[in-house]
Amino acid sequence: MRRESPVGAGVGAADTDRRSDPELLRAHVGGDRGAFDTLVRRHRDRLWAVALRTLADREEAADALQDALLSAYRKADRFRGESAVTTWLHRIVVNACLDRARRRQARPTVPLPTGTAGEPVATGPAVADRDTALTVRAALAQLSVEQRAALVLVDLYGYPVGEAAEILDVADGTVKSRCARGRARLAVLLGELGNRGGGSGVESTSAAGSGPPGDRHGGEEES
Amino acid sequence: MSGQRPGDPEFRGGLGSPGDGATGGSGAAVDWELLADHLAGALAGQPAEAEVARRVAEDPAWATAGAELAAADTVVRGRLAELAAELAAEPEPLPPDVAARLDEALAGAGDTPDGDAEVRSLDAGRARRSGRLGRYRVVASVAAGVVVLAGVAGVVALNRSDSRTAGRSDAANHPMLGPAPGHSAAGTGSSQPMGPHATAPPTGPGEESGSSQPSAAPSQWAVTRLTTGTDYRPDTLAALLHGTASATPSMGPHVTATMPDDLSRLSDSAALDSCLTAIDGDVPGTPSVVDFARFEGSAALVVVVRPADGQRPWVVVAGPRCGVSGDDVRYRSQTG
Repeated sequence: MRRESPVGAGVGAADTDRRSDPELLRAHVGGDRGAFDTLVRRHRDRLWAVALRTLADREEAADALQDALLSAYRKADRFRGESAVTTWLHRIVVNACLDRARRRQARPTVPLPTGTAGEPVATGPAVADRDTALTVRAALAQLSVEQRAALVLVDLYGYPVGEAAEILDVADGTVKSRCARGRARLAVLLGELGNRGGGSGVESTSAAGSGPPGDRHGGEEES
Repeated sequence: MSGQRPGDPEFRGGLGSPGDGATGGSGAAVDWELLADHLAGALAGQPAEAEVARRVAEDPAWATAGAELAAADTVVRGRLAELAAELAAEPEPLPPDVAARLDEALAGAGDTPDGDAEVRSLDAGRARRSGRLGRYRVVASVAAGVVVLAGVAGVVALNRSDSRTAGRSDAANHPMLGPAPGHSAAGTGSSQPMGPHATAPPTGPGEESGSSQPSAAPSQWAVTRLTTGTDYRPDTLAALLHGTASATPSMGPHVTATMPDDLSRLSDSAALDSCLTAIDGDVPGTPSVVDFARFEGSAALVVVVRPADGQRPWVVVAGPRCGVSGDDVRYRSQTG
């Protein structure tokens, strides 16, 4: 079930163009100079929202969106209609966001512990109890960009797993995994999964769970 | 052979990282990530699904953890739904200043789609500036020598490699080069370890005209580059290791061994170096061969890595963003 944002596609008063998205894209490839602009105006609010929530930084989101739309402008001739135009646009935007976030994270002088596929584990205030629990927005910002991107699409904006998978260019199972692991990490950050102390399996994405069984009950939310 | 994809429960951490938990048997430490995958149905159809289900059923620690995780997941979903409602109630449309900036950028973008040569060169520039050039590694492996092979219709044009290597010493003593018809470079006896040296990817027929400018920087990794035109599957990856990918009789002349568009960025030496360095962080060892090919239909760089500890070689499938976004690994399997 897609959760339509009030600022979703096509609601701009200026959009009187009756051409469909694929028609606009074809027109653009064919040299119609206004077609791409019309297409972008239809979808840019949603694309902006996704970029903003994925990067949690306005400047970065603006840069990513600009990179993405320029890329879409230039690569429009490669669109083969294998997905909806909006899915294609989302994919370019989300990829631009992921690239930007990874470049920002990718220059540690000390190697970070990595999770799957080299993603660095977010550091920072790792654990909270109920009293100091982060807000959801702050907790989201602590996730890896891959997990956050999946949660933004699926849990915040209601994209079906299949479409999110197309946008992220991964398998459905990978989307489910990123969402599930992201939510588990959020649970720790929000104080919903108890205070694991150091070495919690949820934080350290490459290690196993914390301590021997039974240890987990120490520090759980009794406050 | 069993391979691994990101998202697979077996695919945890780089292979160089120690202490992979959940090693089986009762009393194994709870793996919260596996549990999360299990609860979300992400393990469906995989061997790990049965294993995790068994542990949850038989091990009290896992059962309790599963219940806690499920409860916490419900709460978190509720919190995310609240946030989603907030976002929907206070929509944040594109700010006017950002809109103006976009309009200006698009107005200056040119008339028609231009094959994004400029975009690609920006990527190559970013790869060079990514700071990875400081780590050089002396390549002492058997697969020595960088032989850049043009992509042409049909099989790999191994017999053109001589003209490309500019008098450099013998080509890699790699099985890929052995059976090449009429090719004798590989038969020149023992290989020599090659230090880093410059490569110039040729723009032969079949490569798109917008090919990125070759990097003049020395390569950190001495690998044999191939463009076999193969569309690999998990069960055919071993062909690259055994040197049979290009010799498959079924390929025939209709197969055009061209560089997939999405991989053009990686033909640049600096970009390829960044990618191989990223792969090395995941699968430590020495890459010997890279094939600019496809995996299950999608453009992919397929790399043979020989682990430093002498274990069997890995074949790693990396996507087009390898080196820009981690190693963008799509699949890997240990062959041999």
